[in-house]
Amino acid sequence: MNSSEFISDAKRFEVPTICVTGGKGGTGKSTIAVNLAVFFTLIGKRVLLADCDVDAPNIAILLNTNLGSYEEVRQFVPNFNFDKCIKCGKCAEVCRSHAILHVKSGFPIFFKNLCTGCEACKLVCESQAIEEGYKVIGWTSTGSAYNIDIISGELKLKEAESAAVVMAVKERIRKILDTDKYDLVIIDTAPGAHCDVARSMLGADIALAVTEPTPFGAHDLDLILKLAEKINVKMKVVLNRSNLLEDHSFIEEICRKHLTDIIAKIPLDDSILKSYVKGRPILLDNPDSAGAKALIELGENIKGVLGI
Amino acid sequence: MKEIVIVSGKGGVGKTTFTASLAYLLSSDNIRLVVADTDVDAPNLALLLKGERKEEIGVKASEKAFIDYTRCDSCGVCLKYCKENAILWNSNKSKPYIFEVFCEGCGVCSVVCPRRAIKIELVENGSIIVSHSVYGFPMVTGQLKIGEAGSGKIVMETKMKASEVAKENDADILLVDGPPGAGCPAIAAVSGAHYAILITEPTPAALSDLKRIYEIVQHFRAQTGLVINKADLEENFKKEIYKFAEREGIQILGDIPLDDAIPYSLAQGIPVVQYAPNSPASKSIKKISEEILQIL
Repeated sequence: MNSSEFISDAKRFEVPTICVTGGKGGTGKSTIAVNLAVFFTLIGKRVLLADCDVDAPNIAILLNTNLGSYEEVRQFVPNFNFDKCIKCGKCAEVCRSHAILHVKSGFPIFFKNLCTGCEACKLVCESQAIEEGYKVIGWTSTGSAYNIDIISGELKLKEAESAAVVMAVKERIRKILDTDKYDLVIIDTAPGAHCDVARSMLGADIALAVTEPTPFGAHDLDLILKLAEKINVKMKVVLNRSNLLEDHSFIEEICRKHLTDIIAKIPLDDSILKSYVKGRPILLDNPDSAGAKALIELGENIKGVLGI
Repeated sequence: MKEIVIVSGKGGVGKTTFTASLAYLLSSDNIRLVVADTDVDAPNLALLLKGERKEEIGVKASEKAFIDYTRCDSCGVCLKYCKENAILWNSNKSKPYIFEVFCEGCGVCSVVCPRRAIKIELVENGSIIVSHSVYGFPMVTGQLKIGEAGSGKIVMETKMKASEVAKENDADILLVDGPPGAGCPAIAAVSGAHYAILITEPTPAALSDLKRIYEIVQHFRAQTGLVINKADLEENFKKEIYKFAEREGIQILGDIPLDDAIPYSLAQGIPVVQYAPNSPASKSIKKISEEILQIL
């Protein structure tokens, strides 16, 4: 069995899940995620919308709403009890992020910023001189707008472990799904094709790669499709700002290479931009616009693919 | 040698488009230039500044766990301690399995394994490509391997290589195209820069992300200037950006108007200032370039 097959299954939510991603930044991931949430809400589905772009979370801004119920994302850090420490240096030896420095016959010196929270130091300490401490590396929060429930993650500035914040967002989704009934989860990811994006995507029933018909869009689309293959997530392509360029053959070529296709084309439309700045999704702000119509068609297509 | 970094917080606001045009203008001004692309997750600068590849260097800046199955007795202790959820259970084989995309090589599994069956090894997680742009200057591009961790380290390595190339070429300016966000890779890109150009667009999301990256820039005490791209997108919100800049004392380098010449030039893979030198956008970028030269 392909390893990624059972990984996908292990992480799947009980509820159909759409992940919106795309490789390149600024292609319209969040706009599409938000409008899909509105689409499904309007047809009577209860939607949980999650912002996993913890480096630059924008979902709440796009819905012009405030977040609340903040929960800290905590990461283990060692608290040294020098009364018990025998200065053996084992903690420093196992710390691969070089957060603990041991100078011969001295107490260990700790660099909090470098600590990734793995706990190896605590586990090897024979004199129980390392106690459990923590640092706050970010937050998850919730909110609601236009009948859509939102979960958002935010990495604390100057902290590095964004993966832990993404995991905390997914954990909070799981907690909410345990107690509340939803029909659909929509996850918005960071740009790029790195491990945080993989973490956000994993377990989705369908992932959408939002791109645009430019050489940049094409280059980054290829990267994200490769990532989806690597972790075995089914991916469809959304071509945003499709009329930027008439010839889409180079995008179609990349889709063919990765055995997928374009599920929807969304034209450049000033009313999308206006709604974006206003913080009111275009599906509500101007449902008759060309942009809204294309987004509705995208919603219908996804509804078909997911069978919901 | 002055190091200039271009960052934005939000993705897709025009970092690379602007960097390519700025590089073109500076080099036509006979400034000795080296350009680095540190958006290692999605490096696009070379698509505009095209060049001949000179050298590709693999970078080993990531560690991963490897299980020696001749020693593993399937006790499953490693699974319990992995905080990254990078160890999974293969129920077919009754063995743990390292999912390398999530493994950050912290080594806790190797510490707790009673059979000493897990080793941590350095792995290649990216590469650095040195090329020579058709516009006549060296270019250094960092690229993270797909699905890998450790973008920040690849950014550092890319910048180190770029500095080396800049020294060899006795460059006046090292121009660094940064990654989006305000996390590890963005911090690595800004670190050590003499001047940071923040580029944004007049939308609430862009302003929110701009504030995050500005805090990072301030931390490093880099001198800072602001460029507002797609400036006439939303006149009212542009005022908000101006207010923010004024409050923080950030110098405004200039506005770039919405201009069809930009998407057309992108589609052709040519910097807009070369593709349509008399377009409104190109004229604005030229002014900004002159402003930057004066500051430096």
